[in-house]
Amino acid sequence: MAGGRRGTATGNVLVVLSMLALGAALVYPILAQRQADERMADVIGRVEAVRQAAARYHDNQQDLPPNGGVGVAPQGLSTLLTPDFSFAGEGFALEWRLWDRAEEAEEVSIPDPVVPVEEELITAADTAVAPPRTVRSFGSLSVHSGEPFLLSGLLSRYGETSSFVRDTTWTLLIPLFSRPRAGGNSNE
Amino acid sequence: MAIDEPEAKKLRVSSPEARERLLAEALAHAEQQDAQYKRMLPSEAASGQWKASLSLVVFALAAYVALAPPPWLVSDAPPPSPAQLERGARAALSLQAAQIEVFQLRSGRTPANLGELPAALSGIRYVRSNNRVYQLVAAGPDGEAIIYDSARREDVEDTLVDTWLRQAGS
Repeated sequence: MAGGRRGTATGNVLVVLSMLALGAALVYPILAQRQADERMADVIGRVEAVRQAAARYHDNQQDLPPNGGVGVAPQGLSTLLTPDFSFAGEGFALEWRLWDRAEEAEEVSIPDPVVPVEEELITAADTAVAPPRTVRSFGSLSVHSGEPFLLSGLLSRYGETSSFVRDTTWTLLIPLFSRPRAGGNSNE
Repeated sequence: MAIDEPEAKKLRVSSPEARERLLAEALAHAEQQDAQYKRMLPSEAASGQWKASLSLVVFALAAYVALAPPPWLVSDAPPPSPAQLERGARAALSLQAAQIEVFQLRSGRTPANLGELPAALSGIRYVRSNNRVYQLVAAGPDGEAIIYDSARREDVEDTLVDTWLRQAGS
């Protein structure tokens, strides 16, 4: 008889425990989602801050800030950011990086030479002059993170036209360019 | 003034037999009550089973929600798709190739290895054929090799960087 009453009490406890477990299982993802949203907002806020700081740097210097390491602010950029700004946050790190690109400086028009008939055998390839090429750098901002939701969230926010994800890094190409520099000639 | 009531005191005193009888009655009543409380009613037995079943179902539901939360509960962005990762690998190859092109422009040769470049991405294999031709190889999302061949650059589809640069109005 005592066992039966104890069984009823155990049943009540089990019901209460299972309800608590279900409540926790429902609430935990909501809290985790809220935390994830906060982190995403944090990352986006920092990306925007760096973009704006880089744009101001470009306006002031007519050039781009030098490379910074992963989680390290590049020289000259930190003064344009708030004093407490950090390139590293919870589960992610930012990296400012420059990418060089060779470009044709301008079209070079070669006047048709007036040549004696015997020299006409010289082919066009022999006289072709490669157009001068210059090098310009453009900026990029990468977010390194082991959290796939952060990377895909950034990709969907900034679009696939100007950003891409590779492994654990999302990279945003920033349309700011350095001054053109002479690059030399590839035919040299 | 003390009031003595010898008659009343006498009336309260019971006989030993009466006391025994009263005690026996009280014990019998207590036993009867105890037995009644100890006996599980048929409805209690049924509710015990019902509660055990309910708690089992709720535990199973809690485990399901905890291990595989339904989409209406979590709205996490899905991880990057294989197509997006492949596009990223191609963009990385394109960026790396641009660095090699600049190196070539400055030094008139291809670099011996990617370490000679000011910016080198990890996870890219560089195969140098000669002073002009090279290949860059990166692993795609499914482990297949994605190859950038400088000799077949004209055949290479527009890279993300080319498209982006055009749009950026460079």
